Amino acid sequence: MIRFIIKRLLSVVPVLIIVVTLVFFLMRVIPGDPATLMLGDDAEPEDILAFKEMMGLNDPMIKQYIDYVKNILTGDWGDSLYYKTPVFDNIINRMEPTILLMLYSTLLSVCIGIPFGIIAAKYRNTVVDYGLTTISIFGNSIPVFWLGIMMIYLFGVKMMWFPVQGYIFIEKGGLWQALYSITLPSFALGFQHISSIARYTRSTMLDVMNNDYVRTARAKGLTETKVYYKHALKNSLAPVVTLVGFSMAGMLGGSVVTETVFNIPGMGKLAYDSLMRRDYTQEQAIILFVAILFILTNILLDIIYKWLDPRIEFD
Amino acid sequence: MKKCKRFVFMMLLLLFIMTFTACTTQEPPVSAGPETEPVDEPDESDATSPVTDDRYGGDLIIATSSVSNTLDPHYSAGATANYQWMQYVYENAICLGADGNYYPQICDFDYADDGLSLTLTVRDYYFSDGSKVTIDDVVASFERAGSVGGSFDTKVMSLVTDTKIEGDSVTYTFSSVGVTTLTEIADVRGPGYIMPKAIIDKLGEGNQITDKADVIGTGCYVLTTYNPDVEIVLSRNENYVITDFGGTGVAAPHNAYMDTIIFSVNTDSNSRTAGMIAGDYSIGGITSDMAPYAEKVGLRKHLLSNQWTHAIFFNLSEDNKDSIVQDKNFRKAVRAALDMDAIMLSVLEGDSTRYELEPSAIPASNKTYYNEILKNTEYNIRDTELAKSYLEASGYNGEEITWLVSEGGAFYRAAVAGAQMLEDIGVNINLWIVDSGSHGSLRATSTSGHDIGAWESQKAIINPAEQSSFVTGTAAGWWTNDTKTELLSAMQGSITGSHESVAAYNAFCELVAEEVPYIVFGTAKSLAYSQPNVELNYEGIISYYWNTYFTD
Repeated sequence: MIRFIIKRLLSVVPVLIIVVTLVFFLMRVIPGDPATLMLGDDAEPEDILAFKEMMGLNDPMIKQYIDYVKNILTGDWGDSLYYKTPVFDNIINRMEPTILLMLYSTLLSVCIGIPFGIIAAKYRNTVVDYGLTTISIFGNSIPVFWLGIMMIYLFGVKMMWFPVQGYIFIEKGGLWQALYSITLPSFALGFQHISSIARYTRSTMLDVMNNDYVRTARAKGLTETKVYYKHALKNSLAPVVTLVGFSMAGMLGGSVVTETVFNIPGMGKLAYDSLMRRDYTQEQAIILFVAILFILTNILLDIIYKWLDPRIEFD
Repeated sequence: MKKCKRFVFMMLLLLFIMTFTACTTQEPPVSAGPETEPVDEPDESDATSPVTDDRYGGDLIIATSSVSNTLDPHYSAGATANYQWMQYVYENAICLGADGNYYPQICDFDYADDGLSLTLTVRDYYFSDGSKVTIDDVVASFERAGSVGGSFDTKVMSLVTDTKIEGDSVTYTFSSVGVTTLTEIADVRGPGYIMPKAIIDKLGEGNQITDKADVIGTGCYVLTTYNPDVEIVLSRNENYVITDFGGTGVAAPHNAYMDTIIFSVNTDSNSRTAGMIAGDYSIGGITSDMAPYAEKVGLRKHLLSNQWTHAIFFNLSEDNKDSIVQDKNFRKAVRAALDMDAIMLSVLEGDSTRYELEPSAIPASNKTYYNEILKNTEYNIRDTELAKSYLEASGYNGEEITWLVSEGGAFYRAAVAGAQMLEDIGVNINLWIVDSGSHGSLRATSTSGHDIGAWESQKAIINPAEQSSFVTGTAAGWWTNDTKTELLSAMQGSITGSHESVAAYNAFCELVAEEVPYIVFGTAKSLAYSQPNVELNYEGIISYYWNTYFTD
């Protein structure tokens, strides 16, 4: 397994080189000048020039690229053009709300989605199954931003059960306050995943329930609950784990829409704001960071498969 | 099976009940205001005493979309995101009142009649850490602000030929008259803020403030929390001595009624709207579609006379030399065809209380410079016959005219209305719509390919020579004209308010009226909302809240 992991990590290097290069040049091809955007339309021309000089934006693009790659290789990801602080620090500072949002929404979606899928599989082709499938389709179809706004209106403005926006850092208000502040966005984000997880679980459960060992378990006199949860569920979880794993990685990369609608200062919002400001270095760092996350998630998922199904051999 | 059906039914019933009970009107909570016993009207002499004045107290939470990017006042570059909080922590050597006059703030001042020298004498003033302000702090701050480059360098320090310090005073001698020098020094938006020399020395050359503890000014608030993506919290400076600077607006006493001022960052307009309605914020914006609901639930609407003008510019650069917009008659045709009233109504989304049909680059309150030359020259005439005659005179042959705008917003609304009016006289308009991030850069680049660009800018208050958008700079569409150059030189080289300066500006307005390098639609007022118990209480075009208080 160690050899497998090392081989996978090495194969990542060319991918990262392509990502770094593509992102660097794409960012600079997009119209928009960071100096004007950051200083505002009424900024004096002298201020704009001074800013560009300070940020090294007047250098030739190739020189900027070479400097950037050299710095990356030595672990220096650069400073944000906007904040003038190290980009990696900015990412780390934004991780807390994003991680909490990711974990909370994943927990909700798994705790609700898997049971929904099992129930739908158990009562397939009944009213229960149809109802849950409808909810799944509904959940997959609703845009997150619309659901978010509706939830803000209903639960925030009208009922005042939850805050309508913002995030309370753990350091400031404690874990429970932090979770309370992101309950609405977690639901909004998790709702889509509930639907996907439920449908996947239903589908794989139905496949697994047709296997001989399940028939044998029933023949032995085990209760339906034991048959489902002890024998069938574990074997049906592999595709669900893939789905959950990738959605978690995606959320770690930043749920841009959710964080923007609910004003959560996470990585997704940072990515969006950096793009709008043409904060090249920050945006490059975020994309590189997310690319690395996805790759590591992929490797981690492979290891989890092995645990779920010991028969799997690594090449 | 039965149990499961019952469970699902109960869940649906619960959901229905929750939805039904949600359909009630609830009053939004008001922001935290001070809890006080009813008191008699305070004695005038005790008006500024927190003990007797019940205006003191409370936390003002302001929703802002701007994200500050520096702690350093001299690196603020006049960006809204920075000065919106820095103006409470730092003050200037002199200040500019809402009446357009300069007043002493940290320093008394003497500006020579010929504009070639300025003497600043430091007053009995203290920083928030208790240390006394000395003339060395003023001199060091000026030097540092100038060393960063930018406008403080070009408008102030690069004109200095001699600096003489004597006791508590410094006298700057200038190589030439700087019409914008005093305004730059007095600008509450920076970067002419005064900070301790000790901190400047500690930072060294070229280094910015990165530690909140080094944010020390003379202002009526101190920086408590700096989390630029989330919130910036200012607390009242208990060492601050309220001073009557002698004027109005920024030059009126800074009473610091609020215990804390919190800039709560929220870059999404819908989220800010929800926050205002839910009572999360004391002051903030509301999206136009929610404005009726906001007023229904009791939010107060404030029209801010901050003198923003909306305009279009013609790309008159060499890079666009083959375009018909280079022909004056074509530009006159555009002006004659436009209904400014309808365009401004479109820009302000149907709210006629939010604008006035005033194309001047200087407010009407400035009696020295204000004139009606632009207003009286084929402005808002919507004369299609005249427009067509100009069009014919220009030799326009139906070519496509590209009008660059950003998606959504005021520029877009103006362009949609304006394009229709121009098509009515036979002009073929291509609306080039780009995202707001790209727009700023594209319109400032002469090779972008646009013939018409959109612009908005605040008017100059003191001297029209300060108004770069309509007078100098790329915003004026790269308009080159020998007479313009002479007149600008005269305006920038003469004393503010002098006969020469006013005459040059009047001649400049005549030239613009004749050449039409740009067309100003009108002057707009910004809109802000507050909770019902908030009294904004400020004057002038820059928003500040040190005199804002809760009414309950």
